[in-house]
Order: sequence, then structure tokens, then C-alpha cells
Amino acid sequence: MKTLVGLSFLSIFLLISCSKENLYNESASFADSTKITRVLEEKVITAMADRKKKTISTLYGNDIASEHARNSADHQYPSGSELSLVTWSQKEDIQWYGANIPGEIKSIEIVKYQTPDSATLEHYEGKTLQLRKTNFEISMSRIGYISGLRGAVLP
Amino acid sequence: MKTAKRKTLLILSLAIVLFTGLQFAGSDIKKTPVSTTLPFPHDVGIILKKACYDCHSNESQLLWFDKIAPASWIVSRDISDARKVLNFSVWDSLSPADQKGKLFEAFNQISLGAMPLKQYSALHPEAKLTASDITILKTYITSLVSVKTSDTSRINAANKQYDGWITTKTNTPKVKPAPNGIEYIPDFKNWKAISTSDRFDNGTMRVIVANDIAVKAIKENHINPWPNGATFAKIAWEELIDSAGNVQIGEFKQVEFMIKDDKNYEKTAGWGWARWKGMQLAPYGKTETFTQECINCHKPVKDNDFVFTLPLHLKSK
Repeated sequence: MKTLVGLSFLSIFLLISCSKENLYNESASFADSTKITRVLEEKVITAMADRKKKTISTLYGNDIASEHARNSADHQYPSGSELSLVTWSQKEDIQWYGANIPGEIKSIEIVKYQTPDSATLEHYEGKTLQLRKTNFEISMSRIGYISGLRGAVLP
Repeated sequence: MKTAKRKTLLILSLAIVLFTGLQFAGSDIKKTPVSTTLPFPHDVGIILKKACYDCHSNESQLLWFDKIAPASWIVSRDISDARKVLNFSVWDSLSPADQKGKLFEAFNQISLGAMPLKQYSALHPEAKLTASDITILKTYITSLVSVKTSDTSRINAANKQYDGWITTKTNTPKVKPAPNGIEYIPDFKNWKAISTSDRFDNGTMRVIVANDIAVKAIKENHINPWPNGATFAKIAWEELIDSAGNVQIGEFKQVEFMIKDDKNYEKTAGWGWARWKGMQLAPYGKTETFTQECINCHKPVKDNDFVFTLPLHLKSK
């Protein structure tokens, strides 16, 4: 009897999970436990893909950073700017053959400008978004790359 | 008794006369010769002919029961609508990019089970596609995808557009409404992203953003159906591809909107549809019937309230 009840609950749970996965891109979404969900709610600056590595990325910015990226061609972000590059592995869009969309999250790199001349990099990796240590050279290189990405034209 | 018999006979005679009369009215589906030689490989051509041609070409092979009124009227209307969407008999009139677009759209309609129409394949079982047919079509359309790196003219065009945009913010032109009366919504730039899509079929990168009502619905798990007021914008840019396979955003191409309102837009599947193209934001479509094109394309996802995008599951914190 207990097994039967257990199995029933399991089936209901599986059904709910499946129907949710049919409506949402759950694999590309942040886990409930993560504390950095706000990144996905910031403004989009640009997007890109790497066909060889099979990744797709979106660059988000807080209000200060997105305002700058949309109004200035230089990459001198003002104090308080935050740029977040979210990279997912690509997966085939089950609703449209001909499109690749975000699959599992691979990394989030957050560049924070304390002053226009001083920025730090936070690098999170994997589905659980573990904070990883990056050495100085890599950090500088990634800050330069992310800050150098040009804002997409939005008329 | 005699009167009842006479009445039945009269009704029967009238029905026969009416039925015979119906056969001379309505259906005007003509079989006209095809003017173009289709460029498809032999096996692809065979599949398209058996599954699509009755409705999507001028070579409709109607069976006897298709010709009997009033069924013939429905057949006639379906064929007429189908030819407007895609007609292989005038394939040459489409640009190569539009031909590729039509093939991907047709393939997706087929693979999602929306085509051939269920009522059609029930009566024409030979039109049903097998798994092997679908593989042949998929392999063929995949072979059409361009793997070329972007040349300098595309990069220069993107740079020119960007330079113009970043320096002349104040000169935003007055945007005309779409032919169905929908006004441009410039605030979409500040909405939240719910997906990004690398469209290798047509070389565009797309970001889909949603307004606050849609985001609230996502967080509260109320997205099928979406609530009234939920609005999406799908922004498309040309892709710039380098030799290492890196894809960057190039020229802005268009922005498309879907606005949910099951009362105001009841006649268009509960959504208001609109598209503006290029930096001039020229509204798409000559008349308000352009929305039929949008609905036809979105029909395979009608069970998802006509929305293709599977959104990121944004959470309340």
C-alpha cells in the first residue's frame, strides 16, 4: 500500500515536472538555491554564440551599464556599472528546427566597476553557479573582453 | 397516409434537386500547369509532391469525394488559403532566402504535426509522412544552411548602422502603426529577456523580451494561457560569423510584438501581432490581413497559447 501511495506521488511529481519543462526552458534557468537570479532580470546589451564550442551567451547590464552601452561608443563604463555575461551550452529548439537556444548554464562572469578605472570580476561556474577563483591575468583579460563588447543596435 | 407519402417524396425530390444544383456552384479549384522546374533532389521532390502538392501547388489531384458539394467548398477554400501561404508552382517567384525560409517553416509545420492537416491526411493516408521522409527533408534543409563567414561588406554595414545609431539618438523617426492599428512600443528595450535564439536557418540572432505582466506570469506559473496584457518583443539582428565560428550581432533587422488580449484580438488567436523592419521601423504588411501569416506560422504551438518561446523560468526572490 505504502509503495502504491509512494508511486502515485512520484507519478504526479513527474507529471508536474514534465508539464513545466514543456512550458519553460527549465534547464537554462537558475536553480532555486542560487542567490544571483537578479542577473537575468537586468537589461540586455547584446548576445552572441560560439558555433564550435556550441555555446550561446547574453550580456546583461544594470541600469548604469546599459545606459552607457546604449549611448556611448567608448567602453569606459562609469562607477557602479555591472556587466554580466551569462553563457549556456546550446541546445536544439524543440519548437523550431533551425534555432539553437540556451541549454545548461555554463558560467556567469560579472564585471563590477568601482570606479571607471577599477573593475573586479566574479566568475561563477556550472548549474550550481559556484564562485571560482581566477588569477589576475585572466581576470584582466576577461574584464577587457566583456567591457569591449559592443551594445546591440536597438532603435 | 397518401399525403404523408407524397410529402416525403416531395422533400426527397427537393433534396435531390438541391444537391444536384449544389454541384454546379462554388468549387473553382483549377489544375494549371507548373511553370517552374523545382530545384529539389528527386527523393525530396517525391515527398513534397505526395504530402503537400494537393493544396500547396496548382497541381491539386482531387479525389471524387473532394469534388462533391458541400465538401468541395471546404476543399476549395483550404486549397485557396494554402496556395496563398506556399505554392510550389510559383517557386521561382520567391527569392532564395524566402525559399529557404518557406522550407524551414514547412518542415517545422510537418515535424510539429500541424501539416498535413489532420482532416486531409485522414482521407488521404498516402500524404502522411514517415519518419524516414522527415529525416530526408531534415537532411535536405540542413544542407541549405549557409556556413560562410561574413564578408567585410556585412561587417561594414553593421559598423555604419551602429555608428549612426549611437550618435543620433535624438532623431528617432515617428514610427507608423502596423496595418492592424497596433502602435510601436519603444519601451521594449527595457523589458526582461526570456530567451536568446541563434537562428542558423536564416542567419539571425534573436533576443525575446517580455513586459512586466508577462514576467509576473512567468514567476507565478500562469503562462498557459498567458494573461491579458502579456506582451513579447522578439528582436532580430543579422549574424556576423568569423572563421572560428564566433557569432556576433550585426545589423538590426526587425522587432516583432505579440500582445495578449483575448477580447480585443479574439479574431487573431487572442494576440495582437505586429512587426517593424529596419532602422526606419517600417510597419510590416500592406493590410491588416498580414496577421494571418503570423497565425499560420504559430499554429503548430497553439497548445502553448501560440507562443514558440519556452521562457527562462525567472523566479521571485
